[in-house]
Amino acid sequence: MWTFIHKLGSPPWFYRISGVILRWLLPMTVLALAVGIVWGLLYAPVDYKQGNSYRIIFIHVPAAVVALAGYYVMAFAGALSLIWKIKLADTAMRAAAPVGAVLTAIALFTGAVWGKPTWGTWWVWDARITSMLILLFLYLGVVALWDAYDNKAAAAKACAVLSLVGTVNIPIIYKSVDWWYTLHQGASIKFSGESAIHSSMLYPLLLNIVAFYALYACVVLLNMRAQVEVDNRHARWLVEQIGDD
Amino acid sequence: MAFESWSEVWQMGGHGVFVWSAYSVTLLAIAALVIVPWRRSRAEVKAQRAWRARQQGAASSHAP
Repeated sequence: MWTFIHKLGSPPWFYRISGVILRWLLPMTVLALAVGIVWGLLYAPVDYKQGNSYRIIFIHVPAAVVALAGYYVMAFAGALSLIWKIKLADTAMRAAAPVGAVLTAIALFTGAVWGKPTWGTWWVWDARITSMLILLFLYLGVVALWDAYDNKAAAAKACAVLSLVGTVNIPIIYKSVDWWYTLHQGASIKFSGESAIHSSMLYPLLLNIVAFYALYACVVLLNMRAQVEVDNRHARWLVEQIGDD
Repeated sequence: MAFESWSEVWQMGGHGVFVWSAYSVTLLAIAALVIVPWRRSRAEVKAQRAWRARQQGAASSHAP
């Protein structure tokens, strides 16, 4: 266990393994996204109540789900950074923040565009939507806070604290549709019991959720690798790994 | 397919503008998420390889 954590914090090991993972994961992610999006757009049946606008669900829900899960990833990296001072954890935290921000922005944008034909409004200050907006500001806050410090150790500490404090928002987002009377509907997919969505719509949705998770992993790894290359510029192991060609 | 023709796909039963704007913005954002770090990484690797080549060139020119 300890050797594993130690290895995980080693840039040469990370750089080599992430390169292998990306070579497989990136093409598979593109394929899964392509299949999921075409399936959702063209082949899933029309919703009898909402018409075709409901097809936005196939990107809205995956983006929102991964934006929330990604916050835990960032906060976990922040905890590792605070407790063990692992530099690679700082890199992971910094890499995860802009990705989470973009996914949150996608969820908010597609939600607004879906809300117009369905609810008759682009925006309401209901609990779910407002707490998602706070999530966006938390992600942007981490990005801005990192850039505000010249001393990167101090930046990592401040960002880790902000990430960890911000996790209180995540269960609020999850539970917002149950705790408050919101315009936003409750969860349609349930881990136990019958989902409130037909399998002809559920399967492409689940595929897209998996594809967005894979996309998240790819993009965070790509961001981390770009940062590791800069941090270890001209290091012997990096020179060996990137070769001469 | 859930549609009879491509023009029906485009119109989406009157919801075309909402569905297509949501999808196009999302796909653009996803493409940017992948391309930005990929290009940054490629530029850095290229610069380091060039630096390495210069180092080796300098070392061999000093050789007796």
